[in-house]
Amino acid sequence: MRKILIVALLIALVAPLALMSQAKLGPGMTDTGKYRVGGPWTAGRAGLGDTNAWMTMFGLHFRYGIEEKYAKQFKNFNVTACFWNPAQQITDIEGLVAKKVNILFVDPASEAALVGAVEEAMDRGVPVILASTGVNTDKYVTWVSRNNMKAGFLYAGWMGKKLKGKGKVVALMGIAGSSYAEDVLRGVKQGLSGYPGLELVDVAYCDWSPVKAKSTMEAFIQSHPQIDGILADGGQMALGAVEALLDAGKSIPPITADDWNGWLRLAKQHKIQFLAASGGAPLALTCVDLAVKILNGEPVPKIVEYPMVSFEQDQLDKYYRPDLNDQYFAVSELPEAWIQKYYAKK
Amino acid sequence: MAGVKSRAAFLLSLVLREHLVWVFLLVVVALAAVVSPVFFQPRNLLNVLRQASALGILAVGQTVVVISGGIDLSVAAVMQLAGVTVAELTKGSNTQAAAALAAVLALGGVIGLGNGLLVAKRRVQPFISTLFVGLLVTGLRLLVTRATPSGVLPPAIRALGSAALGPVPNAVIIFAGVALATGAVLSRTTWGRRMFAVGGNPRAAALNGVSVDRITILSYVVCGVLAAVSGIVLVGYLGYADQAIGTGYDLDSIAAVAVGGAVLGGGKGRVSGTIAGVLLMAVLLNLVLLLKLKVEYQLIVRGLVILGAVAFYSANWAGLRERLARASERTGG
Repeated sequence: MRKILIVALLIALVAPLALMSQAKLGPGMTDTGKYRVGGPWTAGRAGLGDTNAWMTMFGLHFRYGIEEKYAKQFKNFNVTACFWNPAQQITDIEGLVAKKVNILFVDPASEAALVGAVEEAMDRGVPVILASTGVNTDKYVTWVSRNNMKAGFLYAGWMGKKLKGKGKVVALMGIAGSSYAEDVLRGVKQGLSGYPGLELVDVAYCDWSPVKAKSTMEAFIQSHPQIDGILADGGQMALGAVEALLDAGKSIPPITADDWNGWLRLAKQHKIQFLAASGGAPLALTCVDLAVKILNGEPVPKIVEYPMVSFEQDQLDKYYRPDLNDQYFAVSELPEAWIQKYYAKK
Repeated sequence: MAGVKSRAAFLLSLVLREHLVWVFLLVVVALAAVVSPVFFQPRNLLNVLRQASALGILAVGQTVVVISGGIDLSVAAVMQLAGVTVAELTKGSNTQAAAALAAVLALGGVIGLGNGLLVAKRRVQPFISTLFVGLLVTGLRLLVTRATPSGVLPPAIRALGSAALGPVPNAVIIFAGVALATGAVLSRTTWGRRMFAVGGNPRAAALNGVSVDRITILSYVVCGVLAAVSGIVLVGYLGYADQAIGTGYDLDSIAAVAVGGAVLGGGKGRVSGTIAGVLLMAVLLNLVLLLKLKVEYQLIVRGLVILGAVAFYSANWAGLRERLARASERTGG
């Protein structure tokens, strides 16, 4: 009887505390208490590889977070690169889980193909953080991403104002069928719906390749006598489009791009009217910040929208870094020492 | 009358046997003229030729390897290395351009030599050896440049891909020069004939005194050098060197060679067929853009036409060719 009373008393004491901790979780927050573990930790990243300048910058933010900002908390960082091959990435995730990493970052090569691997990792007790692209499951701890639809909406709104609501524009998007590109295009179309006089005369998917963007723009120049604006989702495609216009001896209309230093160099050189929307490479550092919280058992948001910075040509001198090579992105959270180490002109 | 008929049958037989892809290309170009008048504007045609040049140069190199019985999957990595290296060495200045160009071509040759040695001397399957040499080259490039190459090109290198001699783009002139020279070597020199012999039957070639290893190695060296040339032309076309430029060109070059009628097992192929294959791919890409097709239809049209071109080499057509050949023989053609 005495034992029962003691147990009842303990339950009475603990239950409100447990309820209070639940109550602390705001809407959209994930309880990470079960992932709390003593450090130093081992982190894993099933990544896509340094396939372009953005991916390199993205990867550097992960490394800075693990190797310097939280150097005391982490002892190892295992990184794999699948080069956009989902089958390889599934193998990579399985390998990292087998290595018993404490936290797993995944920048997915496919939203659908990785569902099983991500869910399996979570089932085996490894908290998964999705970086940039999502996966078609809610079985992850947190997902950090730029709002790509908002980016498209921003491009269209700026173009509408720039062209005073009248004209013909073309769009150069990323990879056909990817949720990223489709979200941006959806945002563009939604934004353009507010400008009935602005006609989207052609859309092409250029895989973020400046070569494909140049070839495409060369065809557009032939098939569309009038192009008043270019909605390019990224600086590298904007560069390809501008090179095509320059080769054809055409003037450069208002164009959208991102914060890639190579683009900013070209924009300064040719005095181009542009809108840059930051690509969000530093969101990788936010992922590391959240990893530390998760492994300390602190609640984290289920979905984090990484803020987008936009600027125009009048702020070029603030963002363009002539002392750095083209591969740098202006909106960065890397310390200057890292920037100099990786991006200083040699 | 019978003579004229037999000559026509003979010519038709010859065209179907040897130049089918050109027939296919002409049909596509004729259709393009009907459905999109913009296609035949001189500026557009020159654009298509210029866009095709980098892939064309690469595919000519791939043709040499395929004829010799191999395949080279490292070409895209060599292209990327060439583009990035020329930018790194010149730092955007013309003063070092010639030396950088020579260094990059030598680099392409050395990588080709490595491929050739692995295939000829170590008997590693070409698919495997070149795939992993490509990975090795990519890894080393990322390591040396820390995946952040400088990118800016000197005007002299830009001119190779962007400028023109009169109305003809420099890239097209380089492509034509490479294709003519390679075609001449393959069809008119002992080296060329030996490549066909080695690709067709290496044992028979060896019994006839051909140094199979030397020919195999030479084919990979030529391919490596042409991959480097292609990389330089491509970054010149864009005016900027990025590490991702050239991605996918390895498979595109093999596709162009196959569409051009080469046998991937070796011993058969033509530079002229490869040129037609490259042009067919470039024309289709341009055409679907001019027609403003939605991306899904763009892919379907391109896939169907390329498949159609390859299907024309099927057994039925071979039968027709034989019947035509027999007809021409019967009538004394």
